[in-house]
Amino acid sequence: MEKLAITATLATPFVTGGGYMTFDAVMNTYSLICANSITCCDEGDRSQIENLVTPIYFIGTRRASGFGEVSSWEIEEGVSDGLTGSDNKPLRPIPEAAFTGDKTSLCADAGWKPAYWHPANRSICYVPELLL
Amino acid sequence: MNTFEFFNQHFGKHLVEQQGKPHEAVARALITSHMLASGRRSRLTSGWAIVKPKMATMQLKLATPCINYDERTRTQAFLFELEHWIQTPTLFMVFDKKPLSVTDLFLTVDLRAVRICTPAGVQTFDYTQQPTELSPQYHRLLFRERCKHASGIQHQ
Repeated sequence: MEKLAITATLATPFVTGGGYMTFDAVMNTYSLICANSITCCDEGDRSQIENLVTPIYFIGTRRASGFGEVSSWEIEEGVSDGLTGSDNKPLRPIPEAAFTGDKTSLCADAGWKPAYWHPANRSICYVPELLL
Repeated sequence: MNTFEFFNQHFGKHLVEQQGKPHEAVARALITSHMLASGRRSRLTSGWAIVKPKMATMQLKLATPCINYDERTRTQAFLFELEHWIQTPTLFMVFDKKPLSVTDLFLTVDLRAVRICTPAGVQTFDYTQQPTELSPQYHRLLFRERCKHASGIQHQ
């Protein structure tokens, strides 16, 4: 297990949001994020993660409309496990019971596993302050 | 425990039968009509509710005796709760003609991230900080009420 930085270089902007609880005729709203690349930090086996991400050609939502096209993946040695930063604060929502960092961090009801928009996947979590 | 289980356990079970998935029961509680104390039926279309573990308080008087009823305004009730914060998960809800969406239900567990669930969306703010012009409506309203309350105490 090693700390890794996984980078997707994007050919098109990616889109988030739009999730809804039912399939009724509703107006969905999306956020368009224009970025050249997106990097996530993780801890795991490099070759297995490579096998996992290489077949992913699109990320985000509205993929069938051409958004979030990935042109290449790059996996490098990272410095973070993607959970807590050097100040022991959370880098992403982590459920209370699983959090081992600074317990004075901000606590909120937040989605911590996909589908993040679905309220059933929410729990009381330690969250980064930027998230709210 | 997620928001829906919390809602159902401390509030929703007094309003609707707990069938299906927790979020379906929550949606039923928010959308269907309930027997009022007056004998008529109505959806939750006005007032407010504060749900804490084993204690639900609301303004609209329903027929069920398992809920506490309180005639204070939304800002007075929310302000009291935040001023007497006891670090316990709390659900602050505002009702209006448009039903509250299940996707806009969020628990408040930290005064630095208070979440007021309204039919127009959830309002999130840091109660320990003063509001700015760009702060959500309820942050400004609660701050104003707090100042009024503080000046009232000083006059006494």
